[in-house]
Amino acid sequence: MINKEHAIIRTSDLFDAKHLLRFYASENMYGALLDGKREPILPNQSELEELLQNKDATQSFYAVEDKEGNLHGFIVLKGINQEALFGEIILLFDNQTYLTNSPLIHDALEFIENKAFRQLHLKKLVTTCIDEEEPLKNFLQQHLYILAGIMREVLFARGKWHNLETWVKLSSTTN
Amino acid sequence: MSIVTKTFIRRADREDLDLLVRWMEDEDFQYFLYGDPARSPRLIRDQIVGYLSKTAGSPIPGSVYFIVDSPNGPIGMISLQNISWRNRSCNLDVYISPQHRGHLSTGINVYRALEYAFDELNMHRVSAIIYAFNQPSWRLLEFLGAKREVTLKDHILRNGIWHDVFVYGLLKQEFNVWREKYAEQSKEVTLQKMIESMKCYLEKNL
Repeated sequence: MINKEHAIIRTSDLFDAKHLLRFYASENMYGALLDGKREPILPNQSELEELLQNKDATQSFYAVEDKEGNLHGFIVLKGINQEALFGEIILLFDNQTYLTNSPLIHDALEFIENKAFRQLHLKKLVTTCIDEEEPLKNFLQQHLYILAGIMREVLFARGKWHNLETWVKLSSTTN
Repeated sequence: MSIVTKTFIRRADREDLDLLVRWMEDEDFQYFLYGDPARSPRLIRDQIVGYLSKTAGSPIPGSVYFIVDSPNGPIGMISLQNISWRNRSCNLDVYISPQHRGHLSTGINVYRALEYAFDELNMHRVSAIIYAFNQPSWRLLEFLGAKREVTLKDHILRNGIWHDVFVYGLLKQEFNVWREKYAEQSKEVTLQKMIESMKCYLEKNL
């Protein structure tokens, strides 16, 4: 368990499944929750419990809590390519957390970037989001992530096409 | 002026297995497509067998493998992978054996595969991930109307050198605009012509 200034960060466990399910069932769409074919999925709680017990997931899936122990979201570091020294991060917080500029997400990002850039010596982090995820995009921009491009009309959901954005941060841009 | 080719594309068959394994073990294949020279040939073989059996006869396949064939034998492979029936999208991969690269027939066969993707599978979008050093491939896709959507700087390491990776996207409406524009030049590249080439090949070989 990592005790940051505002957040407590710990590896996820099966008891976080119902919190994770909230994001899947949310009215907002999250690019982070699309599968490999960029399709939205709707797992049930027991499937998420299984996922969170998976060895790989337990090593890369972190729950972010406030000091009172309330779970606010998740941060994930996955798809690490040791040869090309990059990894993918997933930030899973509701829009309100970004809009209120909660210090929890800043702590969470600092933690995951430190792990990626300093401990694992990766040189790049990549993340994707749907073009409608404005609060997340603003947050990424604020933290020196750069837009690498937009894949057009990748996802069909809620009766229309959505673009998928790829954002990148280089280790050289961190302090 | 019209363009004509004796090559044709057909569904990959189990009989193509040895050839596919040979191609996948080719250094160039790993350099341009999936770069892991340490992969076990047995695993490669199992993977291909899996692909071929999964796609056979399925009305909603997860991927489709084509062999680019000619009267002198197969010259390459084109695959439509990661097919999403919900998003009507897929990824395009192309491999042409070294001695047949740079020929016009590659373009014609990729065009054919795209036509199959858009007109038969009713895809909305075809994506391709191409390394920056593979200029002939991304230039061909740009010629066919695809747009470079994402550039990942220094994203792949080959022989100790960093290279950019491009993600290309081609939408159905863009492909149709291209088709309209080149209708005159491509009027001889018809399905009928392909069937004739294939018939010729079968008569000779069976």
